[in-house]
Amino acid sequence: MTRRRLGAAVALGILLYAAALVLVLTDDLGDRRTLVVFLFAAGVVFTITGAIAAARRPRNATGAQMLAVGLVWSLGSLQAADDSFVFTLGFALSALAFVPFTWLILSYPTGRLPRDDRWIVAAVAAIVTLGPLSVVLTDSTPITGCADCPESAFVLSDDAGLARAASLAYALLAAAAALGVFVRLVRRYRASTPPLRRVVGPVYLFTLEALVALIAGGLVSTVSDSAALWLEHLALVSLALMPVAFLAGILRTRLARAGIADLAIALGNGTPLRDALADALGDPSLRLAYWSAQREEWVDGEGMTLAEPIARGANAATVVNHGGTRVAALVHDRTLAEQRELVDAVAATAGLAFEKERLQAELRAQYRFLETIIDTAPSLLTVVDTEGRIRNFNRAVEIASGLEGRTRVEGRHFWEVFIDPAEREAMIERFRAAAPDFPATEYENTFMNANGQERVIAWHSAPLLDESGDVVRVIAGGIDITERKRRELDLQRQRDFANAVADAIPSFIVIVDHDGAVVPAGANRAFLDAFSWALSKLEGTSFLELVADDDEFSARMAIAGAANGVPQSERESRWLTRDGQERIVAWTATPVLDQRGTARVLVSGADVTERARQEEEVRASRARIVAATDAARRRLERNLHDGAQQRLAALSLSLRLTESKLPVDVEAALESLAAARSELAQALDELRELARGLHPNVLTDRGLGPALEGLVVRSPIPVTIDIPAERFPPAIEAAAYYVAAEALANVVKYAQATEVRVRISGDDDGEVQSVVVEVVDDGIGGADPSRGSGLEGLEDRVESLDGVLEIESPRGGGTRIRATIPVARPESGPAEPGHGNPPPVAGPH
Amino acid sequence: MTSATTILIVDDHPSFRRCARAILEADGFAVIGEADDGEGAISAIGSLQPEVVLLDVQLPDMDGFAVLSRLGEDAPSVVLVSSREASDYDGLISASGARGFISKADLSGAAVRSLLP
Repeated sequence: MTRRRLGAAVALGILLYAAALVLVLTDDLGDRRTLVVFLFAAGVVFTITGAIAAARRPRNATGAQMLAVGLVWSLGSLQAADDSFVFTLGFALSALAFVPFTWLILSYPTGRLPRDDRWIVAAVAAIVTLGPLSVVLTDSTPITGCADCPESAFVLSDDAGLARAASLAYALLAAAAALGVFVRLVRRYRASTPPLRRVVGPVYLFTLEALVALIAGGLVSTVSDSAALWLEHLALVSLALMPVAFLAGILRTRLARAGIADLAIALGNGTPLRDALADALGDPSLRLAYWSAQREEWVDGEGMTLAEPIARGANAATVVNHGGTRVAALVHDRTLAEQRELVDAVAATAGLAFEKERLQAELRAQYRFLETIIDTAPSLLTVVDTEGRIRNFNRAVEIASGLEGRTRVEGRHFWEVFIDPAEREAMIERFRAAAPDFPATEYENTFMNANGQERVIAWHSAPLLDESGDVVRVIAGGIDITERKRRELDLQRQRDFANAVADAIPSFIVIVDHDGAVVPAGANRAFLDAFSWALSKLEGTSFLELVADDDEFSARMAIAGAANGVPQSERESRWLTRDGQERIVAWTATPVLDQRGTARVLVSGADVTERARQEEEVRASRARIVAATDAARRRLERNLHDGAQQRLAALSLSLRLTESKLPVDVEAALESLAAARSELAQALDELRELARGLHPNVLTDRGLGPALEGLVVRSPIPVTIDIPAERFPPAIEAAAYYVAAEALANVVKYAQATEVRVRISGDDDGEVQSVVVEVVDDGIGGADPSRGSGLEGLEDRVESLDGVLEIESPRGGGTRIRATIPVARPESGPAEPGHGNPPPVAGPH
Repeated sequence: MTSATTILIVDDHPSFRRCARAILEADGFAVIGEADDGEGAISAIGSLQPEVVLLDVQLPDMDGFAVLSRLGEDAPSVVLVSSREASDYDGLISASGARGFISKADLSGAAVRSLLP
């Protein structure tokens, strides 16, 4: 309501009530005096309080509504007139003030009429307009029992029954409307919050009292005029006092404003901010929220995060700014929103306190944040005093120590918690020796915690100083490295195992860098032993220096390839021992990462020198067998050609000569025949000898003894033989026979011996394991298998049966040839039938 | 009466030389000498100047082809003999300059004479 309108309304009110006062003072009121005075007084009070409220709360319609009630109320004063028309008009309009009154009471305290209540106002308007009108039209004495009152000027019918019916209907309808308002107000009161009840309580009380009186009066008037009048007076008194109730609501605000001074005092006295504000605003449910600029969120006084403090339900939020910055929010009863000025004044008064509380809340929030970090950190944090007692610690300490719960750790000496009993004395001494400076230090300790688990902690401690520089506490941060230690140990075990394996295997292992230099500890035992290196000398040496010159290029390529991540296929190279001897090694180069992740090349190889030598020997042996076979074939062909073939050719010529001589010279023919017969006999001998040289039939049929006796008989040198009668597998007998035959042939050809001894024996120890052939002569010695004496062929033959041929032949000391030939085991072996048979024509000659 | 054709027998087997001498002499050849190896043959050819040489292919020191290669322009007619077949020596005989080849079992004066000019 604008001031201008307010001024006009007040002026109108003065005018109306001045006129009413004139009426009251000039007329003889008689019985009406009391009623008129009450009505006048109530109207005046409504007008005055309405004007005050409108001026005080211009945005709230309550004041205007009260003013409207007061102004309309004045119309009732017309009943004081002696003039019948004016009196009747006053009566007809006397209840009209209930329309703005109903509006006022249902709108209080906001001044806004709820939509649902509009029909009530409309109904009241109809009742208070039509009701009195119907009375003045039917009853010549509208005010019951008023003898002094003028008669109705508008009466149309002076039927007493009709008049009574109209009055009763009016009373009933008015009572019904009043009852509707009554019920509505009761419900609203019950739904109100305490602060709202304090505001509306007095108003509702007076209103309800008046309504009860009116309802009762209306109903009683039909039976007792005096009682009705009494109730009407009671209602009027209540109505007249009602503005006082409205005023009290306004005075509450005034008192609250006065409470701001008390608020300042309370804050100065150290009363908690929330409590002081709750008192000042009259809202015990008040809550405070502080704005944490750092975290950009609302927190409570303890620094705990809050949801956005937006009004919910009966609450409203008022954000408080200080110095242009948002600092806090008041979460208060919604009714306080109607007292914006009060809330703002309170907030302004407490601005500094808000800022202080906000900073404290923010500090607490930061502290909680740090506390959360410290408690969730995996590191152990503990603070001990200068006596070594634990004064503060985080959650990780409880976990590592196995002492869950603050009381189990707090106040104990740290050595009782973290140091094993056996080491406590030493630790105590060490701690005391560090006093009073307790310099920063690092150490690692292993202990058995309260749960019986072994823990390893790496500690770092530092002193905490007070203002004077004295050490008051020692803070120690620790990292539980148990798992790391365990992994290190596992890794070390794996490494030791790998090293043990690498040192135990016969293969060579050398680890080189991308340039081929051997890395520290980069060779295994097998390599060091086989190549006569000391590890310390080998480190840094180029692997290529360990390879023979001819193989260096191949080795260089292999290392370079592996260094570029390409595993190399196996190759054979000659590696050099430290004293220059060559070993043939089959090796590969493989890219690997060492324990630090550095790219290395793993050279791994096996010594194949012996295998290569054996392969070479086998190749040579095969070549010799082929050569021996070829030579035997050539020898056989030459023997046939030079021997039997020649004799048969000569025989043919002799027979032809005989044929030509027979008719003319019988004597000569007979002579030729004799020569032919001699030639034929020699041819037969030679063929027989030849066949024996291929394979002596007697050996197959009768064994070693008889076969060798045949050789001995034909030998030009005396031979002594010592041969067992038992039979051996055919391959063994053949090999033994040819060893003896070749040896005897050599003796005859080269040894210039006078006697030979041949001995064949089984190394009989229950079961014959091998056959030994020994041929010993007393000749000149110096036999050498490499000079093609046939001994090399014997070596091949004996070795093909996994046997060994030994030759001792010192110059001038005779020759001793000894062949040891293993006898086949039943299931397998070199002398099985068909295995190790002699070459078909490799006979000695 | 025309004089008999002189012939030198070269073979390392005495029995064959003896039989060949008897056959050839019976068939009218004049066996003027024998040799048992290559060197001996070359020497005898030089000293005895035979008209025909019965030369064994396989001799201890060198074969008959080697002997032939060392004979000069005025070399006598050479007939090669062997206990092997002529096919064993393939083209060597025709390239050797010899008059021909006779298997030892087939030797006769007629066979030798058939190869001479």
